[in-house]
Amino acid sequence: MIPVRERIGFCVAPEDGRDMDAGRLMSSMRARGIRFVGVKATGGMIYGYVTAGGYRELTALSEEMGLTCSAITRRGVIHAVGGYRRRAGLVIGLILSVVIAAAMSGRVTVIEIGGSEAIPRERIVSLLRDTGIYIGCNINDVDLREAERLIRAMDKDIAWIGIRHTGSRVVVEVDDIDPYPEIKAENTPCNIIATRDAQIKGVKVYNGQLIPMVGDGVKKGDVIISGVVDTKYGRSYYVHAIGEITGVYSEKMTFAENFSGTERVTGGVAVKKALSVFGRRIIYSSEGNIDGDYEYSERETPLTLGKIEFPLSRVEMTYRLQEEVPVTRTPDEVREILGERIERYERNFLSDGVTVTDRQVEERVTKSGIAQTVTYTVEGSIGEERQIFARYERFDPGKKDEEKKEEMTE
Amino acid sequence: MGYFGSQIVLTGNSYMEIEGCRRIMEYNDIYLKIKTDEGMIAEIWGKDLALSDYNTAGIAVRGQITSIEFHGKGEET
Repeated sequence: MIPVRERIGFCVAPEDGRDMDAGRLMSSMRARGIRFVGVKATGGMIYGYVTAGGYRELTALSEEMGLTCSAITRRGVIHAVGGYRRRAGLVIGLILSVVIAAAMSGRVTVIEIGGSEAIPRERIVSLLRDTGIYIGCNINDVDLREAERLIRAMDKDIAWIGIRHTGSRVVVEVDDIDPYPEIKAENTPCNIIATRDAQIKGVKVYNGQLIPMVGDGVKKGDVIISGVVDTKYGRSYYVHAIGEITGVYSEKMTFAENFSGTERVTGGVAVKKALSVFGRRIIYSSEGNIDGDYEYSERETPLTLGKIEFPLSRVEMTYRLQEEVPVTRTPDEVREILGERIERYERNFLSDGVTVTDRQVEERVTKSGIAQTVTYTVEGSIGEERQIFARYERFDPGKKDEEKKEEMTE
Repeated sequence: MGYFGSQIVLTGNSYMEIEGCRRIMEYNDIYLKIKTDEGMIAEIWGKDLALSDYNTAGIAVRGQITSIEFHGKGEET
């Protein structure tokens, strides 16, 4: 163990080789307040350790007693550290670490975002960057209250944003605006009209006047439930027509595919490895070329110590190159592709709220490929609300009198 | 001897602390003779004996201690 205070290893020996009274010397040392450690008397000499001040006293005492005192070794923190003073690397490293610590004291290393689930993290990071807050920036140069105000002004979806920092960690809390509820104009006069040519199969009228009957055919745009209701006294008034109209209609779709075409296949894989320091990427390994189109994926492994995550990570970027190659398909292969396409169409467009009652497929084979025309007989909703643009006139008694006068003069 | 005499602490046979050491009368690597404040003489025999003074008015002895002898006040040998 290195002593904090400097200790000097001494050796006291008689000048003329005669015997030395070690007990007398040590008693004198104690009497003069010279503290010693690990003193041994062997071979007619005395060895031990004293402090730097004690060594000066011991030298004087030894001279008085006709003895020779010499320093053999020096121990202590000063000597332990001083031994490294000529090591340039250590000195430079020490200076660099102090400089880096000073430079990084206000630098942002982590940005934590919380509070909002609706607004994507990338969008908030982008807004923060626009206001000067990003990984590696000096947080002391940023006016956080001003940044909060700017971000609120820049993004209408953000109701409130709070930014605070503890050391090099910036914590952002975002509160997004609740979307306005859809306002239904249920009192606005409207008709329900047909959205396509169809035969009416079912009707449920909750408000309004039904015009055609079940089983009648309607064309697109015809009024099915009218919002103008007549009374038996010949008067009419406007209502908001409400009802469910089910109709049967046919729908025709043509799907075609050529025998010859191109297909995208994965040509090769290129991998790049990088070290990410504060978001800056330093590529240290690259395999393969990335000319042309490619599918990109990356995997980032951050450096962590327990729950602490450092702004240092290893990134592996994978580029799967895509090439278009010419292919020639057999009729069966083309039919298989068309079948998949038809199935996808039915799944996406003919599954929600409609029922396919009949399906007729007509195939036409040409030299270049196959075209399949599918005629669907579908039962589904065909009604749609359409507002009645009625013009209201305010009652003006004066105007009515003028009209009467005009009638009388006539 | 009263209750305030020198306290001597012995740890095994390798370490010894003697409080109130007035004078080191004789010392080499196998023998140590001291006089305490009360005038008691202590003789310590051993091997590789090393002394330390920690400014506590006493001394510490390290080494292989083989025997200790005490002599009363004025019975210096």
